[in-house]
Amino acid sequence: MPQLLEVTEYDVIILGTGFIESILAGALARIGKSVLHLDANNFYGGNWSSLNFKELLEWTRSIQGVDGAYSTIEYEFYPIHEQVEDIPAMLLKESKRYNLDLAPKMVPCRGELIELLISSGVGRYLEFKAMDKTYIYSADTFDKVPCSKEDVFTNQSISLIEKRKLMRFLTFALDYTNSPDTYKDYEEKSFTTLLIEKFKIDGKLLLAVLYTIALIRTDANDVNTIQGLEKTQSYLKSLGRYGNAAFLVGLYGCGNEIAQGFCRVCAVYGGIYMLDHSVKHLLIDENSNKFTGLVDVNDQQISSTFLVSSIDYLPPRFLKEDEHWETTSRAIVIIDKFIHEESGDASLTVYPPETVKNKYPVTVLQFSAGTQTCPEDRYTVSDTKPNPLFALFYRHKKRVVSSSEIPENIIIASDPDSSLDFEEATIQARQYFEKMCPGEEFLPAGPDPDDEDEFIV
Amino acid sequence: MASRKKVLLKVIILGDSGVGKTSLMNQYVNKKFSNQYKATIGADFLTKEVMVDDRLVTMQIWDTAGQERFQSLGVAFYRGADCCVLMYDVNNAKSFETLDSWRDEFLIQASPRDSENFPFVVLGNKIDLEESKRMVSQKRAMTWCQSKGNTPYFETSAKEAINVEQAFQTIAKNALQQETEDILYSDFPDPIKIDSDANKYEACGC
Repeated sequence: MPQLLEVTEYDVIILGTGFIESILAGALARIGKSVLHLDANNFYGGNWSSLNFKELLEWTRSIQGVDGAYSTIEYEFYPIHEQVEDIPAMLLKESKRYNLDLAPKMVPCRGELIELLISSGVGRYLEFKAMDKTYIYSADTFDKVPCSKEDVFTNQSISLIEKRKLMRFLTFALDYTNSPDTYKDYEEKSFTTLLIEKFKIDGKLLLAVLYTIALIRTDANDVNTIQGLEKTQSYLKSLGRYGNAAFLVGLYGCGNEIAQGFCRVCAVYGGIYMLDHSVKHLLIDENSNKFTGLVDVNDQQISSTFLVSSIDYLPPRFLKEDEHWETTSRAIVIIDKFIHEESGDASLTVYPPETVKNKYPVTVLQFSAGTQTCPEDRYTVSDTKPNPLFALFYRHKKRVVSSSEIPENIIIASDPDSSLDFEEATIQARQYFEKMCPGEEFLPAGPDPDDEDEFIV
Repeated sequence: MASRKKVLLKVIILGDSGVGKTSLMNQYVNKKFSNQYKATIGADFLTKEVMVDDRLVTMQIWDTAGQERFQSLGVAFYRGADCCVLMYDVNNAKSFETLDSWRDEFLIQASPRDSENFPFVVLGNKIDLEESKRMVSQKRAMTWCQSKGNTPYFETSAKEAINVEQAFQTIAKNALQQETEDILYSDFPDPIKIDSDANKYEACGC
C-alpha cells in the first residue's frame, strides 16, 4: 500500500531536486514556508546529478528516445585494453566508486555560490578539492598555464618577455576599474583587440588568456573588452583563498552534493521529501490560468500557492521550439592514466577553437580518485586521450519556456547551462526567491543547533 | 598512531520515524527532553566533545531531519559516517522489524570499505513506558544483534536519560576505531572545508 501524505496543502510544491530547485527549497523552508519536495527519480539532483556507473548506464537508457533535455546519446566500451578482458563487468563491479557529474561544473573560490554556501551553513556538509592545474592544447602539445604570480615566475614554457607582458596585464585586470585610461579606447572593441594592441599579447599566450583565464566559452571575437575584463578579474580574485586555485570541485561530484545540502536545510526546517515519486498531472485553472495543485502517482490531490518546477515536469505546450535552445556537447570518458604528467586531484584542460576542428573551445575536466569520483587508476574526463575504457557522448540542451503561457505562480528552474560554474544558476535562485518572497532574507544562517534554547523550534 | 590532529567523528542515527532519534541526541548533548512530539524540525547535527581512551574527539551526531519518512535520505547523508546507530522503539514491533532494512540501506548507500566490520550500535528506546506496552523483548533484540556480528545493544530512555551516556561512550569508541582504520587506508590529502574560519586568507590575486 502506498504511503500517503497526511498534509495535502502546502505553501510551495517543488518538482525536481536539481540545483536551482534545491536552493529554493532550502530558502523557502528556512523562512517558515511549508514545502513539499518531490522527485520522480530515486536519486537527488535531476539534470545536475552525479551518478555511479550503474546508474549512469540506466540513465542513458531512460533518456533514450525521450523528448527531453538530451539527444544523440551514445556510449561505447573499449575492449581493446590489454590488461582487462571484460571492461563492462569491471566497471560495473566498481560502480559505486564513481560519481559522474552529468553537467560537470566547478565552484569559483570567490563568487555567488561559495558565499552562499558559507553564509547559509550548507558549506558545513560539503568537502572540496582544488582544481589547481590548467593546461592549454595547441599543435599536439599541452602547456601548463600560469595563473598566479608564483606560477608565472616558475613556468618554463613562456619567455621572459612574455612573462612581463602577462604580469602587466594581470596586475591591471585585477584592479582595472581604477585605471580607466588604459582601456577606455577599447570599450567598444573586442577583448582580443585590447590584449593584442594594448598589451602586445599574442600567439599561444593570447589563447591562454582568452580561454583559460577569462574562460571564454564561445568565439572570443564576440566578447567585448568589459566582459573580458570582468571575467579575468573574477578569475584573479578567486586565486589565493584556498591555496593556488581559482576553483574548487566537490568531493563525490559537485551539483548533486550541493543540491542535497540545500535539501537538507529544507528538511531541517520541516520540508517533506519524497524521491521516486512522480506526478500524474498539474492542475491549472483555465479561467485564471493559475496553478492550483497537482495529482501525484498515488492519486492524491495536493494543493499549493506556488509551484517551483524543473522543466522535466512541465507539459510540452509550455516549451518554446528547440531552435531557441542552447546546446552543449558533453562526454564522460573513463581512462586509465592521467592526461598530463602531474595532474593532482583535478585539472582543467582547454582546446581553443580550431585546434581539434572545433568551432568553440572544448573544456576537459579531469578528476582522479582523490576527488572520490572514481577508483584509483581511473580518471574521469570529458574528452579522450590515454587509453579509454568507456566513453559516453550526449548533447545537453538548455530548454527555454515561453513565459507568456506559464501561470504566474509557477516558477521554472532552468536546466544546467554551458558555463563551467554555478554562478548564473545561483543568481537565478536568489532572484526567484526575491520574487516569491519580497523583503525576506535569503538563506540566513540557522541558529546554532548546539544552543539548546533554539534547538526545538 | 600516525596522526595526532583533531579527530572529528560522524555518527548517524537511523530508524523509523517516531522512535526518538532526535530526542535521544538532544538528551545526550543538551540534557534536555521534550514530551511534546514534533516530527523533526530544526535538528541538523549536534556536536559533543568526548574523551575516548584519553583522547579528546569531537563527535558530530547527524539527525535524519525527517527525510527518512518517505525513504528519501540522499546518499550525501551517509557519506563518511564512522558509526551507524540503528534505533527502534521497544514498544513498537514494526520499528524493530525494519532494522534489517535500515542496516542494508546503510551498507548500500554508505558502501563502507569493510562492510563486514563496520561499527553499528543498536538502541531499543522508550524503556520508560510501562512493561505491558513492550512489544520487543530484550532477548529477541539481543538475538538479532548477535546474528549481525555481535552488534552492541543498549536499551535506552531518552526521556529518563537511562543508558544514554553509556550508549554514546560505546558509539564514540567504535567510531574512533573505524576512523583510525580509515585514515590508515587512505592515501589522499585532506579535502578542503569551506567555512568562515577559512576566510582568513586575503585575495592576493597575482
